[in-house]
Amino acid sequence: MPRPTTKMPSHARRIRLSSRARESIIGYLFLAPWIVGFVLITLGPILASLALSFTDFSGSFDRMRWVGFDNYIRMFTSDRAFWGSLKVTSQYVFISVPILLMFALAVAITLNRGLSMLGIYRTIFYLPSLIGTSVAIAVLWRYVFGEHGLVNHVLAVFGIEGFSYIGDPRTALGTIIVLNVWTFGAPMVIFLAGLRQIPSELYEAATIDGARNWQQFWHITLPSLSPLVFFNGVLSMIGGFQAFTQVYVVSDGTGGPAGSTLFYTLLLYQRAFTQLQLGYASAMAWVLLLMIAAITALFFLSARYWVHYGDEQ
Amino acid sequence: MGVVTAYEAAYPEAKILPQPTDFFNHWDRVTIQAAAGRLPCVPMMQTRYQTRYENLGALLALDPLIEEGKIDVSAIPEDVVEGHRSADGNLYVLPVGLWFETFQYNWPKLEPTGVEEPANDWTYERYVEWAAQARQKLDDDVYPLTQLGGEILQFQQYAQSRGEDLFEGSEPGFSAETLADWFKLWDRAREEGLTPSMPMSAEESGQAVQSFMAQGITLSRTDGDVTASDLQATLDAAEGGTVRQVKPPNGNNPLTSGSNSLAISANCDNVDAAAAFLNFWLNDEDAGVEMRSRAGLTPTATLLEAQAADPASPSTLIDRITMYTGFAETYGVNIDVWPDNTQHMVQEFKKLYEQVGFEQMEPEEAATSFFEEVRRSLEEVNN
Repeated sequence: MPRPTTKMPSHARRIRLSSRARESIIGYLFLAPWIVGFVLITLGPILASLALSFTDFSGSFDRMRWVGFDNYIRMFTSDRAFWGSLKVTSQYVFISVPILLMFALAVAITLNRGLSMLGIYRTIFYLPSLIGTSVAIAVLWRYVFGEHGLVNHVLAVFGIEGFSYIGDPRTALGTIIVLNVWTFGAPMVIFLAGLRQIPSELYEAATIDGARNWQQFWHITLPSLSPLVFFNGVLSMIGGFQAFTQVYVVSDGTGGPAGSTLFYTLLLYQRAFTQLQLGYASAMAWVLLLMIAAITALFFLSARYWVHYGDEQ
Repeated sequence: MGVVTAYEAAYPEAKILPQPTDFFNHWDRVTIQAAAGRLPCVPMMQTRYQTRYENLGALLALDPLIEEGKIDVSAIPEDVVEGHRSADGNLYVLPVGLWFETFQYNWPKLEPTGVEEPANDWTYERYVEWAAQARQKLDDDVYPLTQLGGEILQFQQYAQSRGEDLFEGSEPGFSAETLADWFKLWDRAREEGLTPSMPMSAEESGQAVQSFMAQGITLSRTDGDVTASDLQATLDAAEGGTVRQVKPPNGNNPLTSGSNSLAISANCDNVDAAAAFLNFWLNDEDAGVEMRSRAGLTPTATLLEAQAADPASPSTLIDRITMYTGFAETYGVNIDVWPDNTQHMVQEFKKLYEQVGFEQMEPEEAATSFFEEVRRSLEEVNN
């Protein structure tokens, strides 16, 4: 007797998904535009540049040769401009970032003292952060710090004869640092928000205990803000190493005078687009990435000693 | 753009899609386009840049198109066409605008001093002597010379006046001694107050209209002949002045001329149309007269004559044509195509002179450094 066959209904063969899995799929579908964009526009070019950094690619894939670590070796052994740009960029980052943070914190503390029209001040001080990295401001900077610029006009009122701060290699980098410090608005707003979160009871208790303003700042304000100092420090450091627009415009794309503002990114740009050494420029980009990663790692490693999240035992 | 409009008017079925931008952004863009194999069919080239794109294989050899009669170069002097030929024997570009460096000075400022006018066969040593004479008669705040120590194209004139040049095939064409002398010459000129100070000079814009001469700070400067009209317009709008130009100071040597040129990209899928456009640009009389290009003088003799005869041509253009043809007849013209991998020398040269001027480096050290850099760059290409 033939065994009766039982046909499964078609809907029963469908894979049953849990509601959690369905949620995940929907989530990924929503994320898909970003993921596709990230892979094609960000991750793809990043990996391509890594591959190119081991070639002598100069615009023609037909003539491209694999050169192994030659680009990296040349960078560290025979490219004097590389070391020069590294020195200039390091000076810029390690001078401007601490000054930027101190200035932003000082202004935030001042604004936190119950000033009237705080919103207006906050907006005014934040404005340079929005426009400070623009080409227009960089052009303006040339005129402010030039031989016949605003600074010298002001000094002339006091009988002081100035000079071209942009045109002198001893001061040109300083003007770019001032430009960077001037964009203190973003870290200032973050510090201000942090200051408002510090419980006033701490200050009251400290005052009762006889702590002076400086002691209160050192033992209450700064430790409470240390996560924000860390956050602003890391972001400003990364931004500093990647700075390009201001110095490109202020130095007319040359990194001058006498190479005093030849930032790493500007040299990379020159190597890529003036000399068409796109493989070498890719290697420079990866060295920059590794440097930033190493310094960021140092920040994180040191954080345990000076960043207080308030949950320590 | 005038030529594009004229071409589209002459051939209504054709459509040109121009990609206008400024000079430096053009090269950034062309670099990316060449790397991606997506150059426009007719990319603009220049004598200082073309070799790189020729060596990349990004440009099409034009010789077959010329032999087939699709591009007519018969009205262009043969030495001008041949001057653009690549080392591999092919012709990849055709000039549409010839330009040359000139020494420019403000005549109404010079005339009252009683110091003689510069001449076409002068050298830079003679100019420094001239400037020293003018210094005594000029107002204290007017410098006779612009600081040119960091200008590689002016060093080229100096080297030529000493029988040398920037490049000699795949080797530097100058000696480190000549370059050290050049640096010293400008150091001395600065110390004697013949040029603005180093910080002041480092601040000067490369644009003619923002130059120190345009602002009345210097009596003279050097630049391409095409900038004279802009400079004159700026002086007219300010305190006044008359720009006069003479041959760049390379003595009795031929005039060094560069060109803006057109090529056809190797990736072009409409070569006939591209060739027709090149041919139109080079030979159509109406377009030639219409062009009056600031990108340079047309190399086509018949068009140049038509421009010179056109009453609508501005006087500055007529002056440039007269000057160019006069220099060509008296001294000859040398088309100056730079070797591959040397474009960055412009900035490197400036940086090294600034290091000399700011006393960070001795002239001899800077000269040797630059000489070695040129040699290394040329070697990189040849290996």
